[in-house]
Amino acid sequence: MGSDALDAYFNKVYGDTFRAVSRFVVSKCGSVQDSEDIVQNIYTRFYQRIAKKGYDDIESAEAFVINIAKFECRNYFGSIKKNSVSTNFADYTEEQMVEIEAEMSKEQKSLEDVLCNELLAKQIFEDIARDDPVIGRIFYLHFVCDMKLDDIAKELDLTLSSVKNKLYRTIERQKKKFDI
Amino acid sequence: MNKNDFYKELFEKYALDEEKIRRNALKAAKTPAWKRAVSTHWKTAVGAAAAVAVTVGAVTYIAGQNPVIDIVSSETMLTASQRLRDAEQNYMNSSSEDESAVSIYISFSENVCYSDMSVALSAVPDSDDINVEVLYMSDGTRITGKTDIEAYAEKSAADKSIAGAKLTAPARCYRDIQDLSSVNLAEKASDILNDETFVPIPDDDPLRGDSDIAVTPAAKETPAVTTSFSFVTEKPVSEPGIIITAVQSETAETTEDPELEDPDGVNDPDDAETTLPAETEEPDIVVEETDEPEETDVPETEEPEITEAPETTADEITVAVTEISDTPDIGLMTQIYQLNVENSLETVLVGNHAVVLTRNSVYCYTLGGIMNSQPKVCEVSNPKIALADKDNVIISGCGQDGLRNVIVVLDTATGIVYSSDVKPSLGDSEIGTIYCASAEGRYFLKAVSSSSTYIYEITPNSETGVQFRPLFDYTGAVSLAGYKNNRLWFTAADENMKYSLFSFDCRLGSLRTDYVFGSECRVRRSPSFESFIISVNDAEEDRTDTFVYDVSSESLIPVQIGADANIAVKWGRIMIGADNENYVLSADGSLAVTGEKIDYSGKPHTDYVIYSSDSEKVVVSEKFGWD
Repeated sequence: MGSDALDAYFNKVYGDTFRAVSRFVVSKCGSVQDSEDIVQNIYTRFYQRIAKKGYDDIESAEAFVINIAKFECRNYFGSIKKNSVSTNFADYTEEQMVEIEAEMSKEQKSLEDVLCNELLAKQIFEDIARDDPVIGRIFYLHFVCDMKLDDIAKELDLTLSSVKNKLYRTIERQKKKFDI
Repeated sequence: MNKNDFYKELFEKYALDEEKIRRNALKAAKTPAWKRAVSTHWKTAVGAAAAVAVTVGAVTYIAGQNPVIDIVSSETMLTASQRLRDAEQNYMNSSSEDESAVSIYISFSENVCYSDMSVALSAVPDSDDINVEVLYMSDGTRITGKTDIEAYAEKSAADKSIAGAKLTAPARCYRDIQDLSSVNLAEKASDILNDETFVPIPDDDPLRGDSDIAVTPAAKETPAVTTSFSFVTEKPVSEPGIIITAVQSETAETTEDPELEDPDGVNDPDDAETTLPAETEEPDIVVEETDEPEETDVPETEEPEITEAPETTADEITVAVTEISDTPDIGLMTQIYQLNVENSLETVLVGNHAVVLTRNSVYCYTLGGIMNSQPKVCEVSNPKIALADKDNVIISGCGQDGLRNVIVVLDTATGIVYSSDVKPSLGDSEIGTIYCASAEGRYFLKAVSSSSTYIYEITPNSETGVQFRPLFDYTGAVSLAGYKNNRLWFTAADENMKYSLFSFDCRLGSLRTDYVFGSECRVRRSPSFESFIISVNDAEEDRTDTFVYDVSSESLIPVQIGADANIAVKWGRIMIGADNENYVLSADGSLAVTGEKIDYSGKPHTDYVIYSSDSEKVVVSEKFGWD
């Protein structure tokens, strides 16, 4: 099998499955940063497999790659304890949450400038990612994977209230810290 | 932009960079195993230097007969591992803008000719700035200086005998040189690594020889390897999950260690057992002094093996992988791994995986690259390796009823494991032997009950598990012999003990009698499950007639060989190993001696060797380098 054909197949599968695989990994594994390594390993294994055995027998590439993802997640994070649910802060009331949600939908021109400021944008990202790994996962699953918060709660084995509180608490904290 | 969009964009940009991951995954997949391994070793060394006291062991290879390798005093010699780590560091730290001229020693993956070398180097950007200073030849000699090198190039441009070279080049070229596919290792010169001490490291280890290939006695006449081996002596400390062992390191000596006379494990009976599981099915067949020959069947001896599931205890298994570093005082050496598995039953190496069976579990260690921290892949009672080939390790196990009717398939390429309770398919019969027609990638399973034999085609499928397709059953014992183009050959006896060779058309489901022998016959298969040898024992005449069945021509060819000869198919030709010689079989049955090395074992390829295997430990060594 030609290397070009192999790469083309890999790239197609990668493009088709990346979102599903990253969603799977982020929801199963420790943190967003860890997930990057795991996703890379998954696709490395996948490439090695198709290089070795071809891909004619793969009917559903997504199912196949997710199978590898299951293996990788078990392999690298089987020993990690489930994240404990920290409730250090007082919970928001329903009204407060609705307020925050409404505010998030408001246009804020300054946000585009923030994104253009790479240093600041990276700082904001790392502020989330390095805080509580669960929060980073909630952000990723919600904003990038477009998952609903109740689905995320089920996926992460948390209560909906806990997910909302973690998300909104962080957004509120960032609002003050970075003036956004 | 609102905050929802803001966070979406922020995370898309900084979390899981899709393009970067794709690039890195491809790069990692295409990086040779040793480079990945060295990367891991290096990172481990830097990141967790003092984390664990490691067991120290060494395997030293001193190739007195191999002129590539010079023996240099250990004070001035870098270990192979150290050289690899240094190369890794140089690689990581090299700058694409560094114009300074450096001396670079390159080891080719395999010997090249001058033309090949020139073509390879010409692929490096700014190759005009690269000068060849010294050529290191495979016979241990060196050619130094522009004049001599040019003379050599003119005279022997096509002679593939260049094992390495010393170059001068801008430092910025270093990475590009290392990335050349023909270059196994590129190393910058240092105080220790200089013209006198540099020895090329080829990609293939002389220790490996032809690890998959049975070595004929003629080839063994050259005493190529002398080894010395130091080993674990005590276990002073332990931590959860890790067994830390200390070792008394011995000085390198050139005395022979009986354990290592056969470093490839070619003649290791333990190893042979793991790769020839079918032997347990026909216990009274004697296989003599062959290099892992194919099994021999006598159908009437086949009986289902009744295996009692062993009793288990809660704490029977402790598993640890200790990556054993090299010792600095023993010349060139390699990384070896010690897998501590109490009560291990079987171990088989496939590719870069060590699959270890204990009484209730299957473990799969990934060697060389990223060591997996959770090697246990599944639990299965009384597991046995039914087949290990380059793609899969198929393991049978016992179900709750104590019968061998659980099947586990480990896809070694992906690490995916899928197990199936196949009792619904097998009923009261038990899994016997599994055969792989490797040329066509088809698997056949023989299940046996007290009175019948059932033949299935099985398809390991990582999405749907193992699929069973019943082919036929036979009242009595059956010896599967070979397969080609939808036709499966087997021998069996009728109620009058008259033996015949049958073939079953897997597509049409029809049975054909090809030959009737009458007398008892035995079958020896080729590793690829194609052609086979049939020995017909005529007790009344007190003689044994031996035939080779050529599945391509569907003809039975009488041959003058012993019943214990081995058979293999290579490049479409039938090869016979008998009387310490290898032969090519002609259509008329004549045998022509060949010097080719033939693999009669069907042993899956691996870059590792098991040095010792017992209930306590398995030591596995990488075979890269010549350590």
